[in-house]
Amino acid sequence: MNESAPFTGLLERESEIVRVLADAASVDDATHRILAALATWGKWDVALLWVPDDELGLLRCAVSWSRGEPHLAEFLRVNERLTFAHDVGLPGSVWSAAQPRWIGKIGDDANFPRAGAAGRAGLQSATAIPIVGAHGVLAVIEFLSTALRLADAEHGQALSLAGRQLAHYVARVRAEERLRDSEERASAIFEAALDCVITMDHQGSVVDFNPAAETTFGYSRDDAVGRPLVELIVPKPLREKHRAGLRRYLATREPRILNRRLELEGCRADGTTFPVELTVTRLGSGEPPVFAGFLRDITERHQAEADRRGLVKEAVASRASEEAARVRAEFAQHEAEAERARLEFLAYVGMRMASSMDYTTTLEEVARAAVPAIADLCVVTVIEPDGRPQPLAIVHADPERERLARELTHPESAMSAALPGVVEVMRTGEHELLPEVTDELLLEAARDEQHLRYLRALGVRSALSVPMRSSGRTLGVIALGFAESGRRFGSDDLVVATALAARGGLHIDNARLYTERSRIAATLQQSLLPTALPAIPGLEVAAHYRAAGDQNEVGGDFYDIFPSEEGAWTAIIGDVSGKGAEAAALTALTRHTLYAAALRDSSPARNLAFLDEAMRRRARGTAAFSTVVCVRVCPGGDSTLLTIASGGHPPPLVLRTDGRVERVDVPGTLVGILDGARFEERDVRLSPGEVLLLYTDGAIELRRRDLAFGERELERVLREQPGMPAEHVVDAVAARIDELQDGSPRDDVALLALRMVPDA
Amino acid sequence: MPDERAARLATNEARFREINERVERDLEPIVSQDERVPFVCECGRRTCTDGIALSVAEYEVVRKDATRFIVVAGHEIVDVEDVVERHDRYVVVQKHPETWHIVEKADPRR
Repeated sequence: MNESAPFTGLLERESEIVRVLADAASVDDATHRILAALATWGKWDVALLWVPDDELGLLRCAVSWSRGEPHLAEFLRVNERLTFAHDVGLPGSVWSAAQPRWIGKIGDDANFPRAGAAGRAGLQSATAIPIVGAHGVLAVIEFLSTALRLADAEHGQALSLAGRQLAHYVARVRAEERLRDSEERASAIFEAALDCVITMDHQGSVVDFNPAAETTFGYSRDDAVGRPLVELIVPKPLREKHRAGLRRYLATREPRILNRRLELEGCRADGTTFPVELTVTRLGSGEPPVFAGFLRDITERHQAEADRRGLVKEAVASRASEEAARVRAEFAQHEAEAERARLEFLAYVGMRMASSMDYTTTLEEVARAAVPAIADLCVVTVIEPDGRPQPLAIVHADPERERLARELTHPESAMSAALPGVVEVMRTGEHELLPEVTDELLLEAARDEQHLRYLRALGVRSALSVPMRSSGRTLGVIALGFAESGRRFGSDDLVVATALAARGGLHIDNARLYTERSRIAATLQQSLLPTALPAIPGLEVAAHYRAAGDQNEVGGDFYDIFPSEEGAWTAIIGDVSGKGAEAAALTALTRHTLYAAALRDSSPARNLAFLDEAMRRRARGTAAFSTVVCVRVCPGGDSTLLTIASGGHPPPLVLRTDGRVERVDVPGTLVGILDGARFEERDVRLSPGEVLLLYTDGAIELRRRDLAFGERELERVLREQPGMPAEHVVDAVAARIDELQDGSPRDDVALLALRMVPDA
Repeated sequence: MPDERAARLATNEARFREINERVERDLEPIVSQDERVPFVCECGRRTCTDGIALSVAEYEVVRKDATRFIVVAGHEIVDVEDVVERHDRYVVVQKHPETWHIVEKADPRR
């Protein structure tokens, strides 16, 4: 081969290459034609252009050419499906080394994976040259020949030169294509962008204004282009700041807002403002600078964010409100429970005080209930009627301290049991609340060393003393203390303690009044009954009296037996209407009138008539009356004569020695209430051992709806007593009455029995 | 040592403060310092259901002192706390010293 001919030939064809490149419709077309030209010039049978696939990192066959024989065409089809990695095969090794390579005999080359296909195509030699661009190997051109060809450096150099031309061409064309594509894409983006794209020159004038900007700001492109940007879209208050920013950048070239995402106010053509998101960038690096602003109307986003914030705020507020309501509900429940406990305590106190008039016991019980319900310590001190304070109860939550306190309490000094503040309360009648009891306070309150030890032993940290008052007088003090519980008295505790003390004061007052009235009633009751039963020759006399109801009420039943003339006695038993003081007065009238009458007249019937008249005169206009049995008793040797008159009273009973019981019914009206009252008499004789029993209705009214039951029961008991002494008979009847009424008779009961002594 | 009622009121008000702390924690990221936030009245009244609108900045001023609470004007309980600030929408009360240990111990910021 002529060494210069190929090169010269190549140079001769350079103009053809230039023409091909100029006429080619596309890069691929140009490449194919140049490959064909180079192969033809170099007498190669096959030419292949391998291009790197950036994604796969492999070489792929982009363009191929052959002289047209079928077996060569088959080889082309094989290559079109192949790829080569770096260092693999002839294309891969050239791609890696960026140097041309020549293979004189394909069959001898160890790095030629297509040797089989090449052999079938009759190809024997090959060479490949890299097309090197500014950034490395752009492509590899491979030539193959059916002839054995030795390496030819000049030929290879010529191919490389042609390859470089092709590389420059390809690079330029690719750059132009990319620029064109870029411009087309930019234009398309500019036109189709949903965001506003506005370009501005260094003087602040609008250069371009895309359709989105037209829609958003209300200006047409033609209106906007050339006008100062600030006057178009920047609200007046921000315009000077905008101008200053542009001046500063032009003077210093120091960007402050470029390429940053900003949120600002924008202004529409109609003057309304709205929030926009803005990014400003400088286009290129040419001078003077041109800027592009990308703006987006974020009104909806702002509104959505505001709505979301509003919803979150509402949700948080709602949750907080619910939590607060729950706390307050717990608070209310706690308070309600505390209030209920206080009411239960006060109800218990009221119940205890109502159930007993023994205030000593009651207040001891109340003190026990107060600990630990309302305090750790409760000391109740009562002021006796003579003015002397008397400690009544000391209760401590700690039994050991309670024991110690009792030991330390001086029996002769009530003050030794007093807590701080108690003396003041006694003196003033006002409560004393000491939220904190300090040791200094104990020192001040202590009367002496023993009292100080006592106070310290109690361990009181907070004290509350309240007066027990009634009718304007202070009757005692309830002193409460908190010790180891660590609690402190407050206004709620004062309310409870005051209520407790008020009940205590009333209770003491009532109890004392009740005791006094009971004493008076007992005295009065005693005055209406004989102090002693007379001794009557040949007769036993026994009596029983029991008043029903409260101790401070005087009953209406009465009895008496007294000597009315020589050898005769008068026995009376009766029941006046009503109870209390009026009944007592009527009883006195009845008893003393009969006494006087019996002294003057031996007839029991006339005695009752006299009483009837006296009562009706005395008690005119009232409904007062009485029932009375009046018996004149005349003891004899063999028997005793009884003359009996009755004024509406239950009939006397006579127990015979054989156990029979006889009712002595004597006609007679109620005494003191009826006009034309009539009284009769009946004589009855008692033999030795026989008993006359006088009684009041309380002895037979044992069942409300069955009076006959009481009468039958009384007669039955009597029948069991033949031969028994009068006192035994009375006791047996009284015991049965008690038994049938569970020890609590509904009415007063009076019994009077006379028995003729058997051996008299 | 406070009396039981004062201690109970202090404990309750501290619990309302905890609720408000959660309100602030949840809303602070989405509101500005000047935007009003719906706090609850921290008073000791059993029946109060009122809210108080304070900015986070205003709330933070009160929270600097663990013994102070925000309540609706008129909701202060004078025997357990003193009014130390009056504003148009709320007043700031300070607990009496005997309950400071309770409200300070319950302060989530301590």
